[in-house]
Amino acid sequence: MSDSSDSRLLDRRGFVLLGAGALAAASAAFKWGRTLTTRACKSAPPNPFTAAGKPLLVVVEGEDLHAMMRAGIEALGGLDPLARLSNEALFRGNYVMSQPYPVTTAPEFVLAVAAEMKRAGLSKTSLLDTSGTRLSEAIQPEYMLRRLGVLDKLTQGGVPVLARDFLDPDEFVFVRNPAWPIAKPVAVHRLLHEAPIVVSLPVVKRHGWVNFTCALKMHFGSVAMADRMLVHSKDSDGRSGLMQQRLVHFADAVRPQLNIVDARAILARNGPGLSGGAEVVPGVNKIILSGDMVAVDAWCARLMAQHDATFNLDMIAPQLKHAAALGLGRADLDDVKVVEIRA
Amino acid sequence: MQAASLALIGAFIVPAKVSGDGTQQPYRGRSLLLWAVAGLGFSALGWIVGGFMGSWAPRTVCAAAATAFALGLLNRQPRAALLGAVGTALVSLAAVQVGQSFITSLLAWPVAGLVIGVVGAFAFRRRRAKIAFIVAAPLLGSLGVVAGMMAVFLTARGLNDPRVASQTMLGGAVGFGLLVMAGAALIGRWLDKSRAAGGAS
Repeated sequence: MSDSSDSRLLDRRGFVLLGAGALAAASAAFKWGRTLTTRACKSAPPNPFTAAGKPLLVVVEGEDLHAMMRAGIEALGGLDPLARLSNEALFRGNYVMSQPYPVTTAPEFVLAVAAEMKRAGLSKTSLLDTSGTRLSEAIQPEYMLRRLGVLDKLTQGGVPVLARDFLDPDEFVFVRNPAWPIAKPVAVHRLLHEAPIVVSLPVVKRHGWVNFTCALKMHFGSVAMADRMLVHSKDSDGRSGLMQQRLVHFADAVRPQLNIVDARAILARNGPGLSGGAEVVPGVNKIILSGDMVAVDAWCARLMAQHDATFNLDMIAPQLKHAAALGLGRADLDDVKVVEIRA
Repeated sequence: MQAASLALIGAFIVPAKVSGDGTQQPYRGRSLLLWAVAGLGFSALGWIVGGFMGSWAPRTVCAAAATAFALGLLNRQPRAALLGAVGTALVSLAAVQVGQSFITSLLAWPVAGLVIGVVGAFAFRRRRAKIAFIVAAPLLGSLGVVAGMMAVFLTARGLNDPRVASQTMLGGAVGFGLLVMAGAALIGRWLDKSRAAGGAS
């Protein structure tokens, strides 16, 4: 390297190059900065599945999944309100680890919902999942879905699977509801933010940290890994209440139009996986349908309490109360029209 | 004691050459601060520009190439800067592709560091400096990636801000550029000084 200095620091050529470089840098920085801007949460239309001013919650008991699904949707009043919004729907399942139903949403359940959507006139349904990253060969976004057989079964069944990278910042948009007590935004997946119809397909499980997982908590999987890690690292045992609040905000950022819970079996005593004393309770044989995710969790918590002596409703009272206060739905089942049928 | 320490740190970051009559002249060689900031800025810019072209592969490739380009430019060898950038881009792209199907695409960072070390070594006069840079660049680059990621995530954790946390990998790229370039400046300063002059520090 030369130690000699030039007599002129910047000649004309250098000035032009420096200017061009500065301009390019400024444009790139501006464009990058725009990706960090915070938007309002998506404006979802009001719950279309209501009766006499109350949100409708349909519980179907039976053995035949397709018959239960059809009966449930008919009791809900049909899917026309969704078909009027768009002809495409985006599904969200619960895929937290490579363990089969009821730890994760069963592929046959997704296909049964997709068949009913198609029957109602929706031309395209897809499943979005963000449970991996392309940074690592061992946890590619498709890895878990492939191991569970979800990828193959859904693809063969005509439901495309959108397996996205949970670390890629470009996949997510920052949203915030001014009503949240936490000033920081949430990075929700861009596809969920932009989709006109989102349908949640939760399972009913206990959770070691927040006691219960169903329609609200499952949206931990709808936000960027950065958000999940921040909450887990700040509230590692779930006692500070941050996780209970934040999971509601994650659900608020998604606001699905319809929740269809697969409670043919549930995971009791512990979760969200099969370890730590968790027990699969088979033969529950129910599916629950509602446009109100708070009502869904309130009802499914009662279902859990019936099958798990270590669970009580107080365990999820804070998250239901917070969700109701934010207007996500009704936590008091007296304010919900519950329809129970057999199929 | 404190003033002496500060002076020592100051001399390390903004070195001055002491001439025979005892007067100080500005050091015209590799300023640690300038090189570190250039590495940080170029790699960050490369990462951001790469993001407009796709996901991890273009980001990594552009950040590594931009660091190589910065190294050449600050060595006042624009042609070598271009060649180094292209070479680093090609090799790191191959490393990302291999890494995606074998362990992790993060393997591209030490590989890019090695290429920058080999290309950048030509800018040094003394063999010990060349060898030191070839060895140090991949190590410092890898250390920079890890330290940068950790620094950003811990900052995000402190601020409880997902916007900062979402840039964890950008922090890794910045750490790479910063440590590789700072390493080049330090090696040039301490291992590449001429025997006769006794160095410029």
